[in-house]
Amino acid sequence: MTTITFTLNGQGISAEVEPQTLLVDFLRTDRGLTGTHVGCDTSQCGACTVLVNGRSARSCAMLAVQADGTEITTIEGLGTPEAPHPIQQAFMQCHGLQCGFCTPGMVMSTASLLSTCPNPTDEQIVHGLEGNLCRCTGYVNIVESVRVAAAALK
Amino acid sequence: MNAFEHHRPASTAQAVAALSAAADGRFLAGGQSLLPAMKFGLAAPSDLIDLGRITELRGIQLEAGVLRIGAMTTHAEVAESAIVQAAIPALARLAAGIGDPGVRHRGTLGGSLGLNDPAACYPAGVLGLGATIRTNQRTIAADDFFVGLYETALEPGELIVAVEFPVPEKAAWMKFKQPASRFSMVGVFVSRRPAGVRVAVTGAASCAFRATALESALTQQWSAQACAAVTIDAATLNTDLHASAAYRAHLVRVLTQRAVASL
Amino acid sequence: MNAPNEVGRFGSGHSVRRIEDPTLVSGTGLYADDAQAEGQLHLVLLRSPYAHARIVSIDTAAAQAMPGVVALYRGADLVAAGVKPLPTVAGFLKPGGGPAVSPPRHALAVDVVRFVGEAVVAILAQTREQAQAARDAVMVDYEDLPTVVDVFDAVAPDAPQVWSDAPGNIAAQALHGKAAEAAAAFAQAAHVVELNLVNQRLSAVPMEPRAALATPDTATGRLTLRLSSQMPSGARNTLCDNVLGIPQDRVRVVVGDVGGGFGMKTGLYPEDAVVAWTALQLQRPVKWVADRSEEFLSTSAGRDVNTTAALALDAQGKILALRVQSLANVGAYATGTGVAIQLLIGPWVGTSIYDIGLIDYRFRAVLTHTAPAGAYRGAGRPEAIYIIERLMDAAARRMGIDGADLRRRNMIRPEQMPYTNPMGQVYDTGHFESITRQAVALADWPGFEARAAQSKAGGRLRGRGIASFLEWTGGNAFEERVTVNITADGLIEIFTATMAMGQGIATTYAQLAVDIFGVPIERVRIIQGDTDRGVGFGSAGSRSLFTAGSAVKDGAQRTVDHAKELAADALEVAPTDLEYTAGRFGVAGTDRGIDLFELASRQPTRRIDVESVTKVLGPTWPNACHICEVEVDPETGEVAIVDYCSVNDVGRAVNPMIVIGQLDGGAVQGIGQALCEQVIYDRSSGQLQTGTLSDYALPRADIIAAFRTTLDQSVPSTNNPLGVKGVGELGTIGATPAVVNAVVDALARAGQGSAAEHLQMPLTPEQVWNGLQGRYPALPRIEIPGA
Repeated sequence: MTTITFTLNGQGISAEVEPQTLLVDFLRTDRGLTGTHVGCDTSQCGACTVLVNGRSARSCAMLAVQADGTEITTIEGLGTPEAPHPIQQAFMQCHGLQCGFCTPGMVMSTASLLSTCPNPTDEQIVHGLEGNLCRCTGYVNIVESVRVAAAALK
Repeated sequence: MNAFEHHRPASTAQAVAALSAAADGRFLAGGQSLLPAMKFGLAAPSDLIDLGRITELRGIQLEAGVLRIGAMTTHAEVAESAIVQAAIPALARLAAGIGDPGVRHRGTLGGSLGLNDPAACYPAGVLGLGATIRTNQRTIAADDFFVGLYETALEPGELIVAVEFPVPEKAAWMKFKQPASRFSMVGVFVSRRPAGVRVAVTGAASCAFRATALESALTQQWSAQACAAVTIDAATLNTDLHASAAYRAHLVRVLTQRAVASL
Repeated sequence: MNAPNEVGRFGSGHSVRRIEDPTLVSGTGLYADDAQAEGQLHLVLLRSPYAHARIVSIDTAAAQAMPGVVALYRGADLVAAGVKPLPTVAGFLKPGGGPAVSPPRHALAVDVVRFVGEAVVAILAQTREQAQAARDAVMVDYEDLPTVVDVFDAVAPDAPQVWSDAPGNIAAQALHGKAAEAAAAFAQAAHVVELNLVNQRLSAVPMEPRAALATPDTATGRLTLRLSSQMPSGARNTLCDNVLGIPQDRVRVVVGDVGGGFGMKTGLYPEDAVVAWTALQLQRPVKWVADRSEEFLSTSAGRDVNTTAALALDAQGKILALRVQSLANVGAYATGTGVAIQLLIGPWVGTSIYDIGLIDYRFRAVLTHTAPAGAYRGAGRPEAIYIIERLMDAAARRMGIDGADLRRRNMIRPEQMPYTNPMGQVYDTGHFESITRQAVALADWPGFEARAAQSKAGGRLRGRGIASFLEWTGGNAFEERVTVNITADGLIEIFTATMAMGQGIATTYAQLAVDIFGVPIERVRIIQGDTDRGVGFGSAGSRSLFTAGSAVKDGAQRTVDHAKELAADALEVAPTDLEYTAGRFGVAGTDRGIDLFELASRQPTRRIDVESVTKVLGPTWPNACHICEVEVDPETGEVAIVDYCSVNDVGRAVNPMIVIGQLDGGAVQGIGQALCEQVIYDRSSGQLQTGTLSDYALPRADIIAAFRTTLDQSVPSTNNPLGVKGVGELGTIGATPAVVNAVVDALARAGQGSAAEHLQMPLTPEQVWNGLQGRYPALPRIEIPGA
């Protein structure tokens, strides 16, 4: 067992984990934060995307021990049903979600993109979402959601 | 995933020592290839030597016409680096096209080179620029580094510390993505330096290679037209679900032409 | 009667923001894997590495001894305990007349495995990791048997037989139409075009993998089974009636949020049965979550039909006859759905919007050592529409006339409604020519040549494809029951047995409720996914809105009518003296009245409960015209979609935003089939080669920049009180032929001519590049003896 200490959704936490525990499993099982989803087993779908020190990363391709000393933000840390983040508001406004399973990952990737590229072109948006699969929306409303979110965050 | 010991060395020396003390240890760089492999049971090391804390493995410097990039520099750091964008923009573009943002925020230059996936992008960049790989033991020329399928010239326990890229006169990167994995189905890195022309190809064979026929043609005449008459031998190229060797051979030439035309 | 404020903003016809969204966008939804049960065991499955093998022995001793392992079960254990196979095909015939056949489909394989990935052993342990470790220690001795995965190999003489009762691997056959008359029409036709077509095997890949959690109640003997399913009642009934042989009321199926279904999550899976049975057996909760790899191996496959089809036309381009001969690969087990989709449901729309008098259809369901086929967005209709729309373009090219024009010459006219097609299906409404005319205008059809010249100047080959078509909806289940509960604390709860999986039906039903009740939409709660609260067909075949939505409308009105009676009692007036407005019953001409929720609180149960059943008159027939322009890179064969527009007759749109979302999302799935998706099994070994996202290519955000999608609401369906037509699958059905026709057009114009019609899906860059060099796949011509 290893002790890890890090900031999770703004709160300092400390936990004991086995080295082989994936960050996604730690979040979902140990912390009950089930908003981060598992959509594949090859780290390609992006449904498990979280922010690590403000940058998007796949929590299924990270060990929980690698979170030590970092700031991790999950979808739960971005906003709530009562107080959604502007990115979440944009997704709702633009019908950027249907079944919702890919959505937390899409939203976190959007947060990461807009933090480094606050005025993205459509090409930059598409490039920024390349790691997130969606099977329901056909992506066009997601791209629009990112445009609207970018404008709202200015 | 199997159980293993996790080590967090603070220096290269500690890392190397930890690995040699391990029964069956592996270095953990960005984990974007190793962790998925371990999840599938394709790798089951007894120990993971996590390089994430070793600051001497990070950093980007330009000095005397050589761009030095630390092994643990992420693809995103290379892509976003003003130094790289100014010195070798094609290398920044290559890094910006690896995987997707999630991969780029964690994946590293050293990790990619150490694995030598036949469809990875960096081997073409390193080979295409005639770079030098600095390890904790020695320096290895790019031409000697990529040996075969997932095989490099690295000795067991040898750790890549940095890669030194000589700044070329011109360089370009063209990537044709495998539609599912988004790795290079064929990727071509072309450079022109005083030392000569290099055309490095990845994704097409068991390992990155230099397309010498194209290099000769471009040495004679630096133009897309010069490549038109060159036929790439498909015999050593891959055929898989996504492309035949013949199509790959065709793409090698087309991408080389487009790389040159872009400059 | 209705408050203009609420209805005017949140009632039908408005693009109301979805009430589902705050939960989903904040990651606080409840998908099956998000649920846990105290003391749950984790189940994993050992799956066959062989496509066809005899199970010689299974040694679980080492696995049993491993840490945390609670139990292991094999197929024989379930059989001994009385567990029966899952139902397979019924109601069809084999060639020669006997009933259609299938090998028995046991929840865990018994004696023989018939496709790579078939479940063989169930391992249960305290943690998932322990179960996975134990799985690696199970020793199964297989005797490899001859394998056949390619449908043409399967019907060839001396092919390995999948099932002794299916000679030639034909599980079922359907012949429709008049072969001799059609032959005569072909013989004297001015033009005949024939195409060999592949509609390749697909994987649905909803982003949420399947998961199940079975929780037994030791006190009552009941089992609660949480699934990710589109059809909770159907799953429950099959489990109880067919598999376990227990009364239906012993099992309660609950479904929370579903991360996509697309038809793939209809019906009971073997894994669901294993989870349920082991939970009952062990009297412990049992959790199973599929890996994505397992999904590629063992979810029901979509499409997978090979066709030789021909069109006979007169000199003016009027179609005289349509002949379709198809071999449908239904996999190792012929399921009812898998067979019906290809042999009946698809054929129902084979003539589409065209006035074709004569058909000659010959369909065979073929067994191979692959995963069973089932429903996938469109379920038979994409296959049928692909055939006719490819033929129409080929015929137009042959005759040298415009493709839109040829289509118009053959379209059923509005005056012909209601129209009975050669398969006996009755279309209620449709203004097909108008839809195509609007789409052609939207696409700036005449401007194509100028755009093509521009593309050429930029080094690209431009092509244009059109699909004009209709589709059948309803799942053949036209009745729905809703319960409406007005509660004292101010909520209107409406239960339906349809099932949300992203298509926005909760919002849409809530809007329909607002239409009647006139209360703020926040007061409406749509409840689904609980067989204890109600049963029904579920969501499939784009049926939910027109069946359950009609039931919601009717149920709401009946509730208001019933409440009016109660209000009259409460106020001691006659019901005719009362007016209902925006949640209140008022006595006409006075200030007296009673609030709806206050009225509920005055009832003995503190609620007003109404149960209401609605039966609609029949299917709806949504129809559309989709037009796509592509640019092909002649050096690489890469295809880029540069314009995509459509006009869609959806009857009425309750929430236009949601409707367009369905059309566009569906279209991208259709584009995925056209350009990049394919399930591939190795022809000799039967190994699945597209087993991960590294090899199964799904569209990503760069697939298309924009859609120009318009709705035509001028032709309401006369088959349901809402006038709506089901839209869930329409986009998928149209996109595939529109895109393929566009690429064929690009190559035809670039010098390939009609040879380009040999292009087959998926149109990967290499396929297209080969086509540009004149190299096309050679496909056998299919000849099935006719009626």
